[in-house]
Amino acid sequence: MILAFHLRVAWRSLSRTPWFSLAMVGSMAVGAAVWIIARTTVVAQGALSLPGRPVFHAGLDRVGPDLSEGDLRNVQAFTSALVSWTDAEALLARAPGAATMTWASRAVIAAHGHPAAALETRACSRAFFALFGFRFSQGGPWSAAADRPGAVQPGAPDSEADALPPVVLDARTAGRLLGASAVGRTVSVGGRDFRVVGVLEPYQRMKIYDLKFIVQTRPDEVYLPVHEAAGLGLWPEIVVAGAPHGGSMADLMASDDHWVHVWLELPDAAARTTYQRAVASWISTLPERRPAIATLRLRSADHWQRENFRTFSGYQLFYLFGTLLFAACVLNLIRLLLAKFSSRAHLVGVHRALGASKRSVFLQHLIEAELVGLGAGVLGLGLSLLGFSVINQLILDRPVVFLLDLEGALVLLGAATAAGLVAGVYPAWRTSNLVPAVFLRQG
Amino acid sequence: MIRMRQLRKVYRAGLVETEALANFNIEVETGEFLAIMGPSGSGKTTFLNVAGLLDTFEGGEYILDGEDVRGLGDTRLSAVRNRKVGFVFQSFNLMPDLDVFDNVEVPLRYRGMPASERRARVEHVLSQVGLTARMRHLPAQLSGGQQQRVAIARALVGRPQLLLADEPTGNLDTHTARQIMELLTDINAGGTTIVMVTHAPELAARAHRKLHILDGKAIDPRAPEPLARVRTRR
Ligand SMILES: Nc1ncnc2c1ncn2[C@@H]1O[C@H](COP(=O)(O)OP(=O)(O)OP(=O)(O)O)[C@@H](O)[C@H]1O
Ligand SMILES: [Mg+2]
Repeated sequence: MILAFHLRVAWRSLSRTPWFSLAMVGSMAVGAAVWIIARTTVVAQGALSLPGRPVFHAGLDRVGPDLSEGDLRNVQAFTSALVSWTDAEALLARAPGAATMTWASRAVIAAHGHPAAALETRACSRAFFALFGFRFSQGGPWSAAADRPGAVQPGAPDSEADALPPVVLDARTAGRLLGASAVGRTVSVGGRDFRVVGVLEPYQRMKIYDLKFIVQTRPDEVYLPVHEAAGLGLWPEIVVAGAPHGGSMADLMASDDHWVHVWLELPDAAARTTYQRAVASWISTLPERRPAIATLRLRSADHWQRENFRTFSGYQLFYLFGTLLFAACVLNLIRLLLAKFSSRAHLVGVHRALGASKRSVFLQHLIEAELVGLGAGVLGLGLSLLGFSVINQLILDRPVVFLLDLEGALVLLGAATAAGLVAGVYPAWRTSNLVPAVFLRQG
Repeated sequence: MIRMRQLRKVYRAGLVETEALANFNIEVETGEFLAIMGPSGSGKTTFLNVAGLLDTFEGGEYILDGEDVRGLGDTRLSAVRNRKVGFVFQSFNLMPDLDVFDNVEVPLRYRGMPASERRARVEHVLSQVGLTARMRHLPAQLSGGQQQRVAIARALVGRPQLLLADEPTGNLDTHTARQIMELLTDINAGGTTIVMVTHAPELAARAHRKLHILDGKAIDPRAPEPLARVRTRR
């Protein structure tokens, strides 16, 4: 009940100087909005959101020349992360459940009436989408049958539609090439016609499943079954070369060049052990190779990401800037609150004369600061929505669409609330500790 | 009601110390109406602030309504102030953004009194000062005399034993001042002890007793010795 009264006193005090209050709330809201946008640009790229799936990356460590010196360190990381086509097939054959091989490439895409463009293209199997928690806004992944080599024979006796191999597009590409309804339409990839079977939801969080993301932040735009991509000769973006070979796609697939990522689901420790044993016994059957394969290395998706990926420093800088701005806003709010509270010190003296304790005065002023914080949180939500649409249009080369999701909204409200408290404590404490008799003389 | 012995109050501003009250002795009986007079800067307001627990003091002893206030914590001091003391100021000091009713209600809010009881008390005290009709007016919509009546109602609503008034008529014309003085006399007749600072001798004359404060010391005109000292100073 007394708290309700404190709240009322705080509210009256704010509404007595509406423009000043609005300025306090507004400046905090701008700081909070910029901060949450900056934070989102980093967080959206930093989290591999794989809700509850025990996904592992399978690599093969090798014994060979020591590559840990200087420039060669990266090469070593690459050689243990990437495997050859034949190794990948062996690793997948022993996987107990969902598993995929995958590589990144670039292919020329054209849709009816739209100019061709070279887009980020991913070779993967159906399991890929579930493993990494992709959601579809239209259609879905291709069938398991489409993953088998030669699944689709051009000119098969079925209807013409079924004769086309499947392709999945990301939201932005589908929208750009085909408009609102893309499923069932035809696009040309690398000169061959494909049927769109699914469109992914807009990316909110960057998913890191390929070493290519170390050097570039553009997300994948076109997804093809592995054998279709191989058939088109979609050359991988990263190849760690082994012995020289002819240079055709078939030569690459037969060679011991490393270029394929293998991801699989291993639900528990037992499954992991079983898989490790199976792969070890396969390794023991291998003929001599240079460098020789030594052991299977399993990395959890989390571990893999931490080991290989850091956010582009431009975003980090933006985040730092946003954080500093927010901090400056908090300091500024402290200043404004001090000014506001001391301009009203006389009334505080009257309240004290009527029986308000230091505690009551402290609470009233802290609540007032907190109201500013909460107001800034709510206004900041609105401002950030605006800001997100602006930033998505400003930064074209972004990995994902930057969005305010529920987590972001809660973080923003929480941060604004905390900022109100932090900014309010000192001014409220100072106001509650001045001697009332001194206040009253100022009247 | 009030008993101060050898009380000392020092203001420090940087290196400068001002002794606002020095060897200050006073005794105010329960039910008394005491008028305090004295030149500007002599320590009258300082005395009221210390008496009303709005300010600390450096030395001596102060017993308020039988309770030694030295060493009391802020929460206790605030509660005593809330229950036992009412203040009336020269410049009214109403909360400008609260209407008459809400202004008068504030002390009861700090006491945590239930709403129905608050309402009854506020309405009663407003009728006592004749302002029931102005309950929902803001202070700025009232005359000076009316504002001071609201302030008196606010000081009385908690039924304090002691009313401290610092030049309550200082901002009012003589006619209005006389009305306020009558109100205070009535209140005192109801049993409330009143200590009032005033510069107006004809108002002071209506109190039970007059007391002068000079250079931070209380001088009772009935006591011959201090008066003699004052004379020799002049
Ligand atoms: N906060 C303060 N800091 C320093 N000195 C102060 C402070 N407040 C009051 N004083 C000094 O204490 C002395 C007593 O002041 P006080 O206000 O009690 O006088 P007063 O008798 O009420 O005067 P007036 O009739 O003008 O209201 C004065 O010399 C004044 O300058
Ligand atoms: Mg004074």
